[in-house]
Amino acid sequence: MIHEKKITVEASSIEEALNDVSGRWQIPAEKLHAEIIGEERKGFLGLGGKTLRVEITANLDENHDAKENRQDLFLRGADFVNETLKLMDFNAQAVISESDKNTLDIQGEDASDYVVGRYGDALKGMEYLVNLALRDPKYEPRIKIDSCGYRERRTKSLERLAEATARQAVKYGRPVRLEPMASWERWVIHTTLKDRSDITTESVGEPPLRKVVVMPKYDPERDGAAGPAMMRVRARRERVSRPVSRPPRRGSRRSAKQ
Amino acid sequence: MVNYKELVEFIVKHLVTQPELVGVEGNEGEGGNKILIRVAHEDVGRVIGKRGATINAIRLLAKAAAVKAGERVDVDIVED
Repeated sequence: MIHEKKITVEASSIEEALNDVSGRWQIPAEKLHAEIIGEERKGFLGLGGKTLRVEITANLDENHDAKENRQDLFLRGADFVNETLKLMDFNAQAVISESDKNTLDIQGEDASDYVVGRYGDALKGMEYLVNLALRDPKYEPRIKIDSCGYRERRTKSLERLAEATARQAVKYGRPVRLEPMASWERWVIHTTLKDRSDITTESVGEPPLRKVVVMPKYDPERDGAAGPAMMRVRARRERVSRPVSRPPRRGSRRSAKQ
Repeated sequence: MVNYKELVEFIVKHLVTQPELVGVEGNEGEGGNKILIRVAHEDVGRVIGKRGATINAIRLLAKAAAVKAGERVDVDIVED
């Protein structure tokens, strides 16, 4: 598939414009097409020369170039991350992961204590910035960043959280909201619960505060015609007849009634 | 020692359309390091990001570096 990429630059000659864009896009100048769309005289009586406004177009064969771009993107990504780690005075390096080619893995002495830290904060910040700085969202895959198996651990803990929240939603017959999460974290929650017949999930709000709501599903056979209200009544009856060891959280609306 | 000024400058220059107009000041005060970013007017929104997502990501990195160094750091941007 062919797609067109376009940019307008200012330069004193067509050659200069071609060189500039060729460097910016990492595409050889022969593959670019230039067209002058305006000019402007500088200085007194045109002595200062003129500035051309040049539109540069590239016709890219997507399949071929996407592959090249991909490799290039991850190499530039590793450079960006390594330079940042150096400036942070961290003893750590980023390498392209062997198990997942879209992941940069950060390794080294400071990786687990400071790059991952307690909540993976630096990892999240780094991933966000490297994509924003280097990636063209139209044609390039997202760069993922991992370190010391953080993603896997986080995924496991999110799966446990999903199951526990589903139990809670069914038990109280009402929706439960989770904390705001990144898109891939919400994806883990949705995927973990997608096959459950008694639960539906939905994301609400805008990033970075977007969160998953886990809702018990209304079942006409079980809950009768009264609808969602009956679902809550049933949930309460079951709780009363079968007391649970752990009382509801203090301050919740239910605690007053029990 | 972490050079917060260089760290922030390196990141910000990768985000803006006019890298030559990026200026970063660093002050060491009693409350720790204060870093102040100046960029071209059109680039301010780009550095702040949607709901401050970008400036917050920059802060996360500066703070992670500060944790290791046992220091404090504040990153802000001139908005006018």
